[in-house]
Amino acid sequence: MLNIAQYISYGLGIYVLIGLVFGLYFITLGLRREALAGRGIIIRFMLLPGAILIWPLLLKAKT
Amino acid sequence: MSHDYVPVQWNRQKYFYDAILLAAVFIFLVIFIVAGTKTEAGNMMILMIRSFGACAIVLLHLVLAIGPLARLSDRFKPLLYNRRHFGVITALIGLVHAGLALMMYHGMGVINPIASAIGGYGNYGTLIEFPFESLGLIALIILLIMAATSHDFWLSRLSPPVWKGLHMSVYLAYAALIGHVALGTAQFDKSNGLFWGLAVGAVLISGLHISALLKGRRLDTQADINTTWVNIGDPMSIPLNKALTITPQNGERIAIFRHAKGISAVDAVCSHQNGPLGEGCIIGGLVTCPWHGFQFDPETGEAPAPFTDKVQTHAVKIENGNVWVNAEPDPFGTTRIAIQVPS
Repeated sequence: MLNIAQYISYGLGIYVLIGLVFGLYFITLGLRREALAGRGIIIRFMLLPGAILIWPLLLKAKT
Repeated sequence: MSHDYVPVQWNRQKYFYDAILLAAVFIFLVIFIVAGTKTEAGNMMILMIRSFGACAIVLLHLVLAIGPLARLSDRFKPLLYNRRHFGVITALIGLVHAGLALMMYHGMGVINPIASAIGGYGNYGTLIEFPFESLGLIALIILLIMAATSHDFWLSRLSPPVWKGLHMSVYLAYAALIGHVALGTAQFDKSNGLFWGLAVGAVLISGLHISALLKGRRLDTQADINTTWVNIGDPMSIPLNKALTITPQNGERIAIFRHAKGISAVDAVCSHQNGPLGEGCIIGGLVTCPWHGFQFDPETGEAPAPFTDKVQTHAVKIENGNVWVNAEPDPFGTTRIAIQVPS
């Protein structure tokens, strides 16, 4: 069971890592095409956790 | 106002509620820890883990209670407008609880702490030895996703149905947290106080939801499938400057308002972000959405100039002392003069 648990924890880590890369792209370049373009840095960083956690939904919406 | 995303600004009232909430959380934690040190010579780290865990579960009960309470009484609506802040604080308190627990119980070994918490002990095949921390992790992930997507931007970006679906998973988080406590700490509580506390909390939350549902059913009239006209009943049954909401078969909800000019009906879904217009009120002669304050003329369904948002109007008539509303919406921009209530 420990092996499965380790795979799950690595999976969670990889998911968050991909989310971090995607999230940084989203709040910098991605938001240029959104209604938030030109808004302050604070609101962009407020959106970063969401982009990290739901990046598959955002990617799906783009395709 | 427009159909595009418009950020909702913070205001004095929101700062006030947040300050009260943070102060209450701080007082709860202090009282829990001070009482813990007096009643048992416990390790401070364990007391902190328990205090943050207890605080998170109490806050989650409040978050779940706010929705039905606001439907049962207008006095609780200010809490509804600030519910997302409750949710964010709940997730952060839960995160601190999880971080401290991982450090305390799983951070000293060679195994990855998360793997150790979900698979390093116990047996998933039995209730007594169930690795209860895995349930806590599931609840925490859901609460974090909800907190991270609580900003209005995500509501607009994901679309209201997807966002609402995502946030309905709070009930899954609640069930996981109940399991986490019942199969974890409650197993070692000889007084059974925790067990009974959880049971009372679950009964209260269920009772509030059932009461709000029953009240909603009383107010929601189902339209007769054979006619587009729905009998609302006595005009005075509609509260002044508020609405009665009905749900026609296969149709959108309709809000019937009684205001200074008479009775008007508009779609009950705000064109800004699908807010519940039927739970709003008339301010300055305009239907005002309870979510973000977007306003519409009850006779035309149009937002005041220079804004361009619109909701659809519905025809209203009074026959034999009863109000009737047409379930078929008018084309956007149709003006329906308010029907005078006979004195």
